[in-house]
Amino acid sequence: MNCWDQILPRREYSPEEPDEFVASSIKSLKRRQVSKALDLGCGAGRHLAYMARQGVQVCGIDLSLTGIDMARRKLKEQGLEALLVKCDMKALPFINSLFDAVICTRTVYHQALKEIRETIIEIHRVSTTKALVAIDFLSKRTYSYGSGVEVEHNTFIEQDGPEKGVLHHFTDEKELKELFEAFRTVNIKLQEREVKGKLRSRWIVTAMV
Amino acid sequence: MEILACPIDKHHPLELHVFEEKEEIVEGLIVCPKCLRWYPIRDEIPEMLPDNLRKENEDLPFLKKWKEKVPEEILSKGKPFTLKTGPKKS
Repeated sequence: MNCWDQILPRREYSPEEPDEFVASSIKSLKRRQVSKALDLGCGAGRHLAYMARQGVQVCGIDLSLTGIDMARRKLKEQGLEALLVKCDMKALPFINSLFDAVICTRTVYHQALKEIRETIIEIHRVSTTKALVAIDFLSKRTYSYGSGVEVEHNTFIEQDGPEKGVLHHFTDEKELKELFEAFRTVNIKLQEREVKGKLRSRWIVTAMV
Repeated sequence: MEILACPIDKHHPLELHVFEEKEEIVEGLIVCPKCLRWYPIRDEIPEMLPDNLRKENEDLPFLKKWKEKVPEEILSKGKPFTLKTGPKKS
């Protein structure tokens, strides 16, 4: 069993509304007539449903069968369709240059830096030349930076709570520029807000292949 | 199937073997003819994991269940597991 099989059914991990950066990305994609989109780490499927409602052919992947099953039920309830595959984002089972959009929210940073790099190479491979990629990363300024045991530079394993045993990699702008150097245009934005006195800080990267 | 490639060697096209079908393929097998890796479709979901995330105790019972319909080459030479030899190294 994957650890996310237990985490994803928790309400706070399966919100209904799309993340604001995904919603704004998809709006711009609609203008450019996106036909196929991939959601890496689709979880319970909120973004799959959102994109499918916009008329986009969607594909969702996850390591958690529980997440995939939740996504499948959500899509079915709404009369929507998606291709769902259990696979690893570092080894995508898709042909080259397939997707016009690749999104990944609250997921890619649950890996070590080497694995994040492999994931981004795979995203580049499966994206078309006009594709838009939208991914969020944890900032080193966020309140949870340093929580848990550091297993490599800026990468920690949580020791308590629902994400016990889960990796978190925290990054900065320099590292992000290096990770996305193969992309044509890269926009890196820091998004911060305070929730119950805690600073939540993340990077939003939108890149064109 | 036209968009799927082997997650390991990226070979395309892959072979599809359907074992049980309703509105969708319920159970089946996806095979990479190049490296002979096989990937189960269970409960309508293709499971296309790299070798290090595969679990022999979950995958071999699947192969055993459908052994009459699985190509002989996969039963004897498939990766990462076969019914005849157990785990197979790449």
